[in-house]
Amino acid sequence: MDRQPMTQPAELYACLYAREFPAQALLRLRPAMRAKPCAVLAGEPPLQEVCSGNAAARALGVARGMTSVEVSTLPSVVVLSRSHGEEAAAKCALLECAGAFSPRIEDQSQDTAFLGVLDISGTERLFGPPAALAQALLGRTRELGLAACVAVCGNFHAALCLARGMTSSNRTLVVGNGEERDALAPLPLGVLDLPPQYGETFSLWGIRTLGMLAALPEAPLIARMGQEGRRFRQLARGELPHLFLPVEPAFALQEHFELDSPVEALDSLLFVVGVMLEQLMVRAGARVLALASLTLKLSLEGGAIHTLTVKPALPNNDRKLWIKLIHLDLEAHPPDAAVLALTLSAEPGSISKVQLGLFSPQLPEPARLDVTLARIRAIVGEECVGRAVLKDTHGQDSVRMDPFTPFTLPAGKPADAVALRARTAMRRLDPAEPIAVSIQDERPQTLFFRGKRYAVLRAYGPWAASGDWWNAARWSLEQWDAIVRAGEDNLCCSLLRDPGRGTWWMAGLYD
Amino acid sequence: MLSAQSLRLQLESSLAHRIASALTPAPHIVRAVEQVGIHAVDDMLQGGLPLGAITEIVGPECSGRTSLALAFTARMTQAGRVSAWVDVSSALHPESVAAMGVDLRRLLWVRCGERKRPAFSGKPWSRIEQALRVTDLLLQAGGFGVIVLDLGSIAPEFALRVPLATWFRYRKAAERSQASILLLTQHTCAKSSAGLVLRLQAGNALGDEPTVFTGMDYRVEILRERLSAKSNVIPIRKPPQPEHGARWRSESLWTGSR
Repeated sequence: MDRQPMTQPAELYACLYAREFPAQALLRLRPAMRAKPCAVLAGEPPLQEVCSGNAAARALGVARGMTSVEVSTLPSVVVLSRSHGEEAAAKCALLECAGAFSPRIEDQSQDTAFLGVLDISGTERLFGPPAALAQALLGRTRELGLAACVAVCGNFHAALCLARGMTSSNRTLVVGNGEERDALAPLPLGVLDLPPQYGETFSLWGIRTLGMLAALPEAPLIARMGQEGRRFRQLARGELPHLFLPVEPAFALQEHFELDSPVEALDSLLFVVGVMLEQLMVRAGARVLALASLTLKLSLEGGAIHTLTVKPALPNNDRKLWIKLIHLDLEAHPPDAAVLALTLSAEPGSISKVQLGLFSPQLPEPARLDVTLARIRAIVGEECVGRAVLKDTHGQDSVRMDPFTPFTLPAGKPADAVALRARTAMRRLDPAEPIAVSIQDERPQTLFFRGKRYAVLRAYGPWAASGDWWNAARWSLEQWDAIVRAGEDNLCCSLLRDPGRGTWWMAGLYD
Repeated sequence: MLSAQSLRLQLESSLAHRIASALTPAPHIVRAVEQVGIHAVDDMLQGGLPLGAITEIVGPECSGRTSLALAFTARMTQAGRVSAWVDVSSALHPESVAAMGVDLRRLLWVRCGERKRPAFSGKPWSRIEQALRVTDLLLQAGGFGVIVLDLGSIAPEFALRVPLATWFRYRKAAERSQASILLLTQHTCAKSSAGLVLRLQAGNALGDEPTVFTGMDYRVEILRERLSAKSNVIPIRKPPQPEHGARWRSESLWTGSR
């Protein structure tokens, strides 16, 4: 029997590198601007400098360190302000994307570049050969609207250097074990991210590539540069060992968007929300999840924050439905001032499946019912739509309204179903109408209701009820059932009396 | 010699310009009905209330309209159907609803109008408009077994101002979605759009017990039944005529079985 030896698999690292990250993070949620030359300015005005730009901007001559005045001289360059919030959201999305391929990820990001190294040793059975994994990882990052490249090799630092040295024409690179030195040899020294004084020294020596650095003898190099020189040599040879420090990316479905100028039109906001929603759905869908609820925080002019939460009956990834629900909610609760920034966070839920049987009763379509309920709420108000839930009290306020979610109920007759009998229902008067009642022998004799004088034919009661005596909301009532008549007009009604004040109300009619 | 079939075809074709399909009985369309759960009413209706049609329940206050509508809603919710109660006057008493056997989890309750304002005071136009818009939305959404539009506390002079086109639209939507629309009013409003109109008389209180209210005695009659299947074949003998009225005894919520 062929047995696999129980040995540690060979080290293998994949480095995911996204250059010009400030520009990419901004353009991720602005798909219409990706084709235009865009430059990202950082710093306090008026001392802003270009920190990043896309390929089209670089082709026009935009370079890091240019001032805003210099950028303004270039034609058709769109200038954006750096947003650390959007960069954090994009970084979180990338780490989460990488987490789908390996639980061990080390974040080596720099100021303007995302660098994440995945420990992919032992993943061949899950994702195939390293080249296939690299392609799949690139595909996932492309879904997030980010351009990156992946370098795979057996040494952590070599993977980093190879990724930094890759060109846009070649997005993936797989280097076999023992071939790191040859692969690194043609790369310039810039990929090592050397401190300036060492870079200058190597430049004076005529060392321009990693291959030339790797060929230097070790002892004389240490004699001239100390242990740092030895480290650089090991880096150039792809031999520097590394203690892996994995991070645990939290699964937080959150997107942040800072608007270029304050926006008041709700329709314009919905375009932005749509792009953010797509991103959230891609991320949730990657984990076979759907969005269960959305919370939209709008940062307003003046520092206020307007928050709204939308929660449909069932988790779903229907973009149109979410946009409609947010639109209806925004219409019902519009922000007080212009919007400066949006933060959209979502709670994930399992993708719902409504199993309909051939003979099961027809139910409203969940997504459609959510929109219908939102529309009804816009017409009659938030607190007037839903299912009634009886509170455990005999007081007047004995009902509360809960969201109407019939899909979660089991099919068929409820277990606690009441036996059906012909019963007399009450129609309540909301609120109870005050009436004038004349008393004889401590029983109601006549009453005036809605401009008519009714003679009380029969009166049953009083039934005393009281409650909440332990707090300020104490109540005490007497209830009477009365059969009254005014000419041809017969009523069977429920009367209430406050024994403290002696006032009477018509509480309802038996109908 | 002509066969009976060819003879019949020949006769029908020769009479076609005067009587269409003279010798062919009109197709008998069986309309789906659902029992109300009150035997006397179900017997009178020969099955129950029609599905996919408007049923108008007309009567003064305390005539049993709400009890009848709730009895039907209870049957529908216990069968697993989803129901909606569009409450123009916020008159629904949830304790009564639960005691009558309605599954509150399957009943969508929509209260129209402003809260903290007596439903009787002021003009009810905005509440009626809200209710009509809500009913439209519910019918468009589909999937509801019964939609009760409760105009029971609205005076006829207001309810009659609802355009007939609205009821016609509801009727078509109800046919399409197979939802039963129960319209509770004090006076007939839906006119020819209503598939069935039931008129209830003011109920009489039962005097079984001297100290406690035990229930009501209600009377109902069929005012109009548009969906009854009538054959164009005239029988030689007059068939037995169905009852057009019924009485039933309805017990108060706190009355136990005897």
